Amino acid sequence: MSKMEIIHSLIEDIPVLFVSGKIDAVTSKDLETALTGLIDKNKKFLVIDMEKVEFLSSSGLRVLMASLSKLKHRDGDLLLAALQPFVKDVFFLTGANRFFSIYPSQGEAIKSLQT
Amino acid sequence: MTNSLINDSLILLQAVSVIVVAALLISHSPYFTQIIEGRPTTKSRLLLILFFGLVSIYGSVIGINVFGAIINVRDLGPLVAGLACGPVVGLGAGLIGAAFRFSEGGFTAMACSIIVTLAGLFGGLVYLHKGRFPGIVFSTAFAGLFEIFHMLMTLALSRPFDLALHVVEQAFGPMILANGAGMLIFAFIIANVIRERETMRERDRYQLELQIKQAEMVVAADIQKSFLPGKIPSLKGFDIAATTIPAREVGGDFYDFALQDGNLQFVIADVSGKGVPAALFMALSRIIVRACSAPLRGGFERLKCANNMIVDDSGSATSGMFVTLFLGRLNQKDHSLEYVNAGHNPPLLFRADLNSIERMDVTGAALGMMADMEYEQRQLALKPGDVLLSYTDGIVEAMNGQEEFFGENRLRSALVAAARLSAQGILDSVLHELGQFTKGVEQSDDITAIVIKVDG
Repeated sequence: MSKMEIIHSLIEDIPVLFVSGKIDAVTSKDLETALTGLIDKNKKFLVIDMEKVEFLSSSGLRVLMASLSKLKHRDGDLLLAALQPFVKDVFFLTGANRFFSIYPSQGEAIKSLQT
Repeated sequence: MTNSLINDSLILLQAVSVIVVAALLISHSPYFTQIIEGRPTTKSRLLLILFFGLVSIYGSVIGINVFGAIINVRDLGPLVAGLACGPVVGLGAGLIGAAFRFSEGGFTAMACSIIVTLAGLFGGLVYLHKGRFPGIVFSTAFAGLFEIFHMLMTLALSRPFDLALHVVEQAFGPMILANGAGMLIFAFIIANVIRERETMRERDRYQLELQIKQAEMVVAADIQKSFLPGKIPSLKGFDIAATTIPAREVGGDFYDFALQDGNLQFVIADVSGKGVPAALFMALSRIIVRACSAPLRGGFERLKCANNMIVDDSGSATSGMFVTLFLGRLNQKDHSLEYVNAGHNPPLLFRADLNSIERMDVTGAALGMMADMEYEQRQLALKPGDVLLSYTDGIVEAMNGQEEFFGENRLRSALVAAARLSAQGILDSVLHELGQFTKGVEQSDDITAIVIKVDG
């Protein structure tokens, strides 16, 4: 029932994850694996395009928080782009929006890293 | 000639049938199981010796007479006995077969008796060497090779040599085929039984492990239940009900009450994730919230302190664990409510006079996300008949069969519809509505709710 897909891509040398579907207790483990894989490769900046994410549970937010904290530790950042209203609610409701850089689109997130 | 061929074929068919039935019977008997599981008893050994001895005798009896020599599957029983049960059973069965063959007489009697004894012994030595039944292919090939050995031994031991050579020429092919086929049948059945037993053992082990884990989870659930307030304190002028229903044995939700100077403090919280990690983190958070709240009766600075402790001591920054929490303080004298909402689902406040609902929005980030966060404290006045419903996301994110969320709107409607009942009545009614909505869908997240109603 739970379904989530992750497409890896590299835009302007920045790893971008296009995530679609539901990030819940089950699928968040796959997201964690994908993010940990990139972090272990010593990437500093990651972008997640969440345009097609329809649901984000607290387990999913936990995975994002953990990755953000690891990246910030090495002066990097986890940039989130194109949040749907429900997903945005989760960030604003928990106050997690204060810690993430959130952009309207993946293009703008990339652009912010190039200046 | 044709008649004799049909007759021979029927005898062969009969032999195969008898061997299949015998193999099935013995391989599923408890005696055989005891042997293959490496715990042989004297009784099981004796019975198996007798059984395979009888198979050997049958193999002699079924034989076709060619110039006084008996073409047979006499070696089969002792061979199987040795290969599957070891040298003791093999040799025993071989000796029974030998005694019978010797009593039958004929010019190959001595040779055949020695050979059938060796069949059991050799099979047993292979078993000893391998430490177990050597498998279908090996056993079948071994039976074929043994029959070649059988022929050579017959030539070496039987006199007159010419007659022996004639018998061997006649019997060579059929003997290898018959004993090989018989062994194939036996080996196939035995290998199946051994595999079955192994699967069963593995399953038993998993089941035991599962039982231990389940028992541990029951203990963990009991410990966790002991964290919850045994009895909800009563506060004059208020009617209070609360419950928590974990999705699994242990959960990440909690609630708590504390009476201080005529004020009632209450907390409802939800840890990110679920299951054991959430439960462990929950236990830690709760103790920290408690510890911080004790000396700081006044303000809500405790939350800042609790947050810093969680960030520093729990490793939440690296695990990403966090806890959303709503902390309220009811003043018994003026019926005011002070609260802080740290990233928690906004509780709903039903206003009796307006018949409408207010949301008690977030005033700070969830605990454990980052150190040194500020938590804004708000205050409002409660009036008679007002109902405050605090809950965790397990309620609004519960899904029905169509993957729709219960959602805040349905929760609001349920609250308005039940607002005139007692606190327990409202709680039951809301949970009933939720149950109707999710009907048949397994609960996926912990569900917790506190209802506080101002006496009207």
